[in-house]
Amino acid sequence: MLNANQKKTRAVLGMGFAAVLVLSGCSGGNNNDNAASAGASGSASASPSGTGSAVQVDGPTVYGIKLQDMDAGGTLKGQYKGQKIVVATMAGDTEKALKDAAPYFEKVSGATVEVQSFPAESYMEKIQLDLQTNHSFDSVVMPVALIHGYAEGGLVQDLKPYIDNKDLVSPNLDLDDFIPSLLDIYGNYKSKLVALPYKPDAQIFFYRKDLFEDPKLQASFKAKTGHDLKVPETPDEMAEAAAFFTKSLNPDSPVTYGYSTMADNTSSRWIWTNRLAAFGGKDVDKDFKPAFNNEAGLKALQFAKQLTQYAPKELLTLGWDEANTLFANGEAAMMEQWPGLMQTVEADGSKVKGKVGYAVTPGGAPTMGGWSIAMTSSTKNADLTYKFIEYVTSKDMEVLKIQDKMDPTRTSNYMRPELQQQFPMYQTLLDSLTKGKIMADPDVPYVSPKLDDIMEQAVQSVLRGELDPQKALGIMEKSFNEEIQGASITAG
Amino acid sequence: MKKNTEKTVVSILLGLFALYFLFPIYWTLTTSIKPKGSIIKLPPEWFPHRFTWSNYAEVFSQNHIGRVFLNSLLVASATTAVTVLVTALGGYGFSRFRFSGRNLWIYTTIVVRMIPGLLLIIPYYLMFQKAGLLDSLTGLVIVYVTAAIPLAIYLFIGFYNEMPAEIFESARIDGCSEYGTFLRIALPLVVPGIVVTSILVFMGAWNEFSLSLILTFSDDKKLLPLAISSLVQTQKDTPLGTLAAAGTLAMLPAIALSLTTQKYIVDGFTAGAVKG
Amino acid sequence: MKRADPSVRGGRLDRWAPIVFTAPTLLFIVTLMVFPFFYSIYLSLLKYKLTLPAASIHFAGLDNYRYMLHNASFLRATEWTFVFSVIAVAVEVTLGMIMALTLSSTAFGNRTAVFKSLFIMPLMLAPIVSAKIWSLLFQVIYGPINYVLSSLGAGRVSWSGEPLPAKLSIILVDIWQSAPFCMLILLAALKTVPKELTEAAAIDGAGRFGSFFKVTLPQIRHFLALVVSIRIMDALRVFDSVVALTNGAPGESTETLATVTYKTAFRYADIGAGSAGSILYFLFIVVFSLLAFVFLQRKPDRS
Repeated sequence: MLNANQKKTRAVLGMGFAAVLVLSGCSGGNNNDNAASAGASGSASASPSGTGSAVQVDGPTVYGIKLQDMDAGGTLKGQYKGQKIVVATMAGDTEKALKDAAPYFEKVSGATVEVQSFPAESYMEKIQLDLQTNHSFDSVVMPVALIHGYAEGGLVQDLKPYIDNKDLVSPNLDLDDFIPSLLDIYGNYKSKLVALPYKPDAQIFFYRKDLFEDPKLQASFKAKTGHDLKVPETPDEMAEAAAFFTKSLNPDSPVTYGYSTMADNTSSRWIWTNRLAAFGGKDVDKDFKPAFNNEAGLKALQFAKQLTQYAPKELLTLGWDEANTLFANGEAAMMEQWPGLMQTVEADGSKVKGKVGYAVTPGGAPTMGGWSIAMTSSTKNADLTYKFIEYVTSKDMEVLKIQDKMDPTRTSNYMRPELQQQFPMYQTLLDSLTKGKIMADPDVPYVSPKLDDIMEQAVQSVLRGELDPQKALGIMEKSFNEEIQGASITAG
Repeated sequence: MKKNTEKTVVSILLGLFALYFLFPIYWTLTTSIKPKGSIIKLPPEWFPHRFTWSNYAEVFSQNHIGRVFLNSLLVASATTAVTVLVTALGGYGFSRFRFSGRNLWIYTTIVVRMIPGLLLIIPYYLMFQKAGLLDSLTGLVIVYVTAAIPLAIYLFIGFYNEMPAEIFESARIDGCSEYGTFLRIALPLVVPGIVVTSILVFMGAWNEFSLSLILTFSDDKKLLPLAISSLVQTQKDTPLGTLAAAGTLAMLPAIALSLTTQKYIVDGFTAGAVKG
Repeated sequence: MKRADPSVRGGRLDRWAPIVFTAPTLLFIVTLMVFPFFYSIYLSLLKYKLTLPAASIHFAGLDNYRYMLHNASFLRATEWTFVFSVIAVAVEVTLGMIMALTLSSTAFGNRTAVFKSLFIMPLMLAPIVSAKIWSLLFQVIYGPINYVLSSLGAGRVSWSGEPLPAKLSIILVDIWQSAPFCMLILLAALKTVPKELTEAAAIDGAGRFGSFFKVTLPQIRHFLALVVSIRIMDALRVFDSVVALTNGAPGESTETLATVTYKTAFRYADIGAGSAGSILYFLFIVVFSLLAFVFLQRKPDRS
């Protein structure tokens, strides 16, 4: 009882202390994202909020790059004064990135931009409901498969007419600068350009550089397998290395597991899709027909099952936090994950800081995620919305959003020496983005979330050993066909 | 001897209950002051080795966090006030008067409590869209009041039933109107009941999530649970320390309430449900 | 339950008193509960997918109901939700009772009172936070619970990886959240039992347990009925903890009616089927809670 009271008192005192700290900390500025906030606030105070026709905004310097193109090549001159648009997305980094860019855009366009964001676990439902009934959004930033669903349903519109409008378009738009596969996969839908790429994502193969480069381990590997220990490029090499680094199979292994990933029931399918395209299969083809119930699908699924031998036996319950912690604690030699793992690896307290390398996933056809930005059909400020989309995806503004973990989607940004130097992973990411063929969520309009769940159920059953891979593929194909036919989508 | 056995049993049981019911709370509190690397760890840090206030600083640095707190306070208070007003009257009406359809209405009020929230969300959304109440705190108060009414009315009927009918009769004989009787006799007597109901309603509104998710849009209309759940991420590290800090802060009014009013809650239920 | 006959009239205004008092309540209930409910029934008869163009919405009769009743996930969830509720509520009420008895023990005089406040803290923590904290506690590799278990030599339990542990974890969290509520009401209930009655029974040689079952329990029957029916209503709606702990895994073994209908309506954007599922679900709650209430209320009176 006494103890409890003390705890209470301590908590209350602590709260007061926290408040004091925070209050006094305010003037010192935000302690993280320092480059971002420093840049943003610097420019805000530098340029007096003039309302004259030519609005000059001094670009911030980010990662040593002085941003130049702050007014879309001179096409933003405060002409949208008094207008307002609403941009909707998921809460978190995407939201922050949009909010960081909005003030600059507001200054040069004269318009007001409201960014509305909803929690990661329910933003899809919320945004879907509004698009269909309330029509309050002008632009949405969403995962690619969903945008395509909206395109099929006529909820978002073609951007081409705006790009073709010479009076509107920025001279610096340069569509060809987007990584071609990204523009094609993220942006194009049935010969319309329904969105521009906003955030690229691809599964990356992470491995322990220190282990793969250790001469002793190399020698031991050579002795055991007859091959040289190198960063695996094919599934076979991957399996061999994984077996070598699995303690239960090789007591000399310096780590417990050869392979790990996150594979709870929202993400296990990627173990399979990371190899599916490598073996020549696909989730769905261009006519929205399942294309995995074949040799490739079977081999990829069997391989996924094989990988689980080298992984923690709890693999199928590991979510983002736990899987990443496991790798950062040095328990696994290799891991396939989204690029964000790098932040966990390099964080304080990580045991593998500076020891992790990255490569394209073995097989050379990683699963791709990705978000794009689109304009709703119901917008009443189409030109302004277009300008905003163009602005936040422009070459210079892409650099700004890297601070919020939005990697670039334009080739030229991957070529900037400043960025290459600060983000050594970019070359790998660029390669992965170029080679990716399968999307993280099946790219079928309307039913994508349902297909996700069907895949998860099947893949999980196989990995748990409850279902034979061949049977699982059959079940999956049948359910896919039912759902896709039920949605009655016309083939593209 | 017998007394001692009882003491032992009571101590053991209290210890076990405390472990089960308070450990997660303790874990929330300690997580909120742990630095990032100490949160997911083996062996777990039962007692934080290093303290940090950065999680709290992070909460306060969130845009609009002050606004969000204020919104929650406003909505929960308004919900409580309106609910208590409406149901203190309604409970009296149902308890004191016999009128046709009375039972039907009482049962309706109780049965609607069983409607799954999901069933109401879409109709609310469409109704509010027509009425221009989407993205408004007033709209939220309206639905929260509705959600709180069934339990509140049930409690109030119990409270009033508990009062001896004679006191109302004598007031009537003294020349009070029905309204006067309510104001002068019933209302003062039902105050403990009002306290209990207020607390339950306030807590309900304070912690509500789904309706506010669907019915509000802008940052400056967000309520606490929604803002907190915005911290939870699926494709990147969830800032668990910040989440715990936000949860702890959100818990403060509730803890204050429970410490100061727990006695009333028990008394209130005693009065309320005897003849319920 | 004898009330005054309002025919003893005062002013003319008094005639309107029943309406004046109850109108605000009924206004809320009718416009925001009854009306939306009927609207949902209407929605449940439509083929209405949120992802499809609005023009595709059309009347579909009972198709959605047929679909839900033939939907294996829905049926499995119904079964598990039922089992979950029975087990969870039984344990919660029993535990709540034990807690209430412990706290009303006078062995330590009044010094245990602070525990009343402490034990109701789970009620105060926002469900979104407590669910996340529990999911941390239940982590397979880094969770404190598994750490303790393996230190005790029991080995790690794959909480969300196997059906039984997954179900157990959801039940445990629900008990944690709700036993305090039962405790509160039952504490109140115990206060209504006159001391003389239990003491008399004890003197008659019934013993403490005997007097509890023979005297106390029948005395607080109404409270039990109240707490069980309220808890059943809410247990049948379990949602947050499932989403945070297992997300239905492994397979679909821990999907509940609330999560299945939610997924149908929103994740799969099938408003029609989701509404139909919810209405079936509502009927299920009504029948089940009423049965529980009636059963407990009608328990043969032993006194």
